[in-house]
Amino acid sequence: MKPLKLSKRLCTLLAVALIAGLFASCASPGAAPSPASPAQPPAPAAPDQNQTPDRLDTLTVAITYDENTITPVTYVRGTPGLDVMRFIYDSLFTISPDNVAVPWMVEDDYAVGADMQTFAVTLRDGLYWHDGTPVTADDVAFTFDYFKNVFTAYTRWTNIARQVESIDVNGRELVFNLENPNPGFIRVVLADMPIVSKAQYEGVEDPTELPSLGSGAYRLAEYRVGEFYTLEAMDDYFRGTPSVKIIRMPIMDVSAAQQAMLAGQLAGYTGGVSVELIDIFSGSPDIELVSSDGYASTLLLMSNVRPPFDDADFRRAISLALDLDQLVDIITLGNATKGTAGYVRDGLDEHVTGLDYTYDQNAANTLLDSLGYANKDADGMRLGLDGSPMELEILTSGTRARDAELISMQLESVGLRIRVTTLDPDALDMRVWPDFDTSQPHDYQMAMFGWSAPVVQRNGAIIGVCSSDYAGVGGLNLSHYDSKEFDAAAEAFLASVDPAERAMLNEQMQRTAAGDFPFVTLYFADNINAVNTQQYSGWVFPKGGLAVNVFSFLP
Amino acid sequence: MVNKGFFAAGATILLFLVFIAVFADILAPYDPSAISGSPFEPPTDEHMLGTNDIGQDIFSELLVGTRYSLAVGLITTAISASLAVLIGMAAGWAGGLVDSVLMKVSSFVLAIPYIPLILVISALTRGSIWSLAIVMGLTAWPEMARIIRTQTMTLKHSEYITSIAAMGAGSTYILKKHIARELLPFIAYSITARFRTAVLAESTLSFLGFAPGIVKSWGTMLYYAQASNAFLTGAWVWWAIPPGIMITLLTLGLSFVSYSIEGKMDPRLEGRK
Repeated sequence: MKPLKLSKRLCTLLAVALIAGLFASCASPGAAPSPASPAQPPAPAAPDQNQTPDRLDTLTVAITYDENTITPVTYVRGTPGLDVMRFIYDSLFTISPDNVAVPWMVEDDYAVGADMQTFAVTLRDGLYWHDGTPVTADDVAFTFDYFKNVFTAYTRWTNIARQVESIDVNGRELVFNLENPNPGFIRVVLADMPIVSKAQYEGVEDPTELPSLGSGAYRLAEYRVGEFYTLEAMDDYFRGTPSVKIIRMPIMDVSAAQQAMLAGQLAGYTGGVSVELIDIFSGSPDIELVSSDGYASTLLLMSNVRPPFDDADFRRAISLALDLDQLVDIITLGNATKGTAGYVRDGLDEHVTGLDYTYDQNAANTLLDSLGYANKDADGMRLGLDGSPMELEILTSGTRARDAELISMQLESVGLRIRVTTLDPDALDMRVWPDFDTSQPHDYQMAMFGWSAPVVQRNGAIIGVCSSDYAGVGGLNLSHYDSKEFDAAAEAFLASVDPAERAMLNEQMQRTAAGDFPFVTLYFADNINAVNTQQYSGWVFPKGGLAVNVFSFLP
Repeated sequence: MVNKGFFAAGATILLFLVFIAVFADILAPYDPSAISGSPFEPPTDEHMLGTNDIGQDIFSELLVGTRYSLAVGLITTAISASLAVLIGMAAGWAGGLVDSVLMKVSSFVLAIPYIPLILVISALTRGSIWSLAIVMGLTAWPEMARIIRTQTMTLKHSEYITSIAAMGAGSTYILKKHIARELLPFIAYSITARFRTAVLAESTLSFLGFAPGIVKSWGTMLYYAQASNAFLTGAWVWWAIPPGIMITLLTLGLSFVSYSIEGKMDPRLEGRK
């Protein structure tokens, strides 16, 4: 063994010190932040002075996750995957920036049967797939049939398609016949289902390998895994020529995207502004900051089929021990709205008042004692029903670990020993929502989770997260909450066309769920958007959504 | 003497850090997990290094974090050094098939990319300080084992060992009383090097967000500083620099000690100024 020479050894030590020094000096207050540079295209979109404000050649907008090929069967997340998919794929109706379902691919004069079981629409003229072939009513009928009967692995579209019993096609006219009345059909079904090409999908059992082919305002021109997307405008789009020809979308996380925004290298990104950066963003003359009510939820899931969470009283004790005000004040610095036991956010039409969670640690202690968890170990932590040490686990990932950390402290203050396990997001999904199939058994006790705004904003959204029809309308019921009372109300709600009766049933569902505590809705973080108005001025801020949406690029 | 100077400096640093780790609970002004202030407070009289994103005292986190880094280093080093000594000496002394099999195993482990393996295991398992340290220990022994094997083979054929063997000494006796003693300086040197690698690996993993649970370590402090945009808000000065300095200190301390041990092993370095 030959030892290193002294000079070399000293050099090594000096190098360590130098690295430390470099680390120390890698940023300085007020210095231009240097973003993590994405791999390929992102020649940053410094605005071209020759471009007119109305029609830009290129704009760089970061996407905060890799969302595969962003087809209806490959995107991963509601935000940003589904949001960006709307650039590429159209639906018959769409949710406007005012959060209203409006005709999109169909003529404005649609007809709804009095029984709420027939919906007649007429497909617009001048709709084309990105390969230049026309979109037909057959494509629409095929789409529903395909997700209902052929490709049922992606439950979101399958659950939607199953609501349609049959479709009559006559030229450009389509009549949707439903098995049950559904007043929310236009919003929940027609404004959600992306229409796919019959020519591309017919005969394909697994469409996940198919390339992107939509009829939307933009086509996916290029995608490199983990690196970037390039969207190219369809100049002959039926809603008008998009105002930016090429949208470059480097894939970078929110933190890197924020740094790039502040450095003027991005016009926007598919995420919100971190609360600690609000002041810094506000001080930037090129950046406009818009804050609005947020609808994306942050939840503490509890497995309703695993002890001790299979006891509704135990879940109630958990909710009593949680101080949601503290979570909102610390995690979001006050930029959020507390959740309620009725799940539906304050500000939505279906919100029921009077279902707020109660924070009362004394009551939580009393309840836990009465449930048989009165015995404690030397550390003051409660023992299980059999007298053995009890440790409960919260799964989390990313920065939600901070929510989990606060929750663990709050629960430990009522004598519940908590272990927080941080996992990779994909690993968390596999434990909580294996294969995105709710009917499969899950593997968790408690988990930090959340639903994106479009999921929360739907009418009857509580049915998705509380119905025991896991393979059907309860496809988001990750807690496996199972209540006959709730299911009966949900079934009646889905079958009812009477607004007053639906309102009554909605309240009944929420009150039932609020009494059983299937999960704890912690808060809805405000929607804080930042866009560079010097680079682009056409931004549209949808209610509860991101500025990076297709309406921002349409005339 | 240069070596003595390095040893003294290194030992002082390490003792200082061990002292902090042992008495962290007394030295820390707050429970590092408790919410003791508002989020993102800059340094004040009450919070020497300010508070983090959820209002925990950063100085207390820093002190208690010493314990975690040292613990991971100790466990990892204990496992990897034990394996390396046993496997290296067995292979070097026995030779033949035993040597061949053990070296093939070490080649296999060496071929596994270290950090990616730890990342995958940390992401997929219900991680704890033990699982992390055990995995790191189980994958960090081959390099040291190979050198010990070579040294053992050389010693085995040296004149004085063959003489002892000729006098009837058994293998176990020779390995314990003579070979192990001869290898002791190298083992001590390797242990400090392993320790250093383990500490840096733990910090790297924690910084990347793969720390098991919500532990207080220097790496997780850096992770949350970065995740909370400390480099944009200016909080990096009191949030990111201190754990960086602590990691550097520990690494320097271990480097000084290992250098002085290396000098002891080679008299040419011992007398160098």
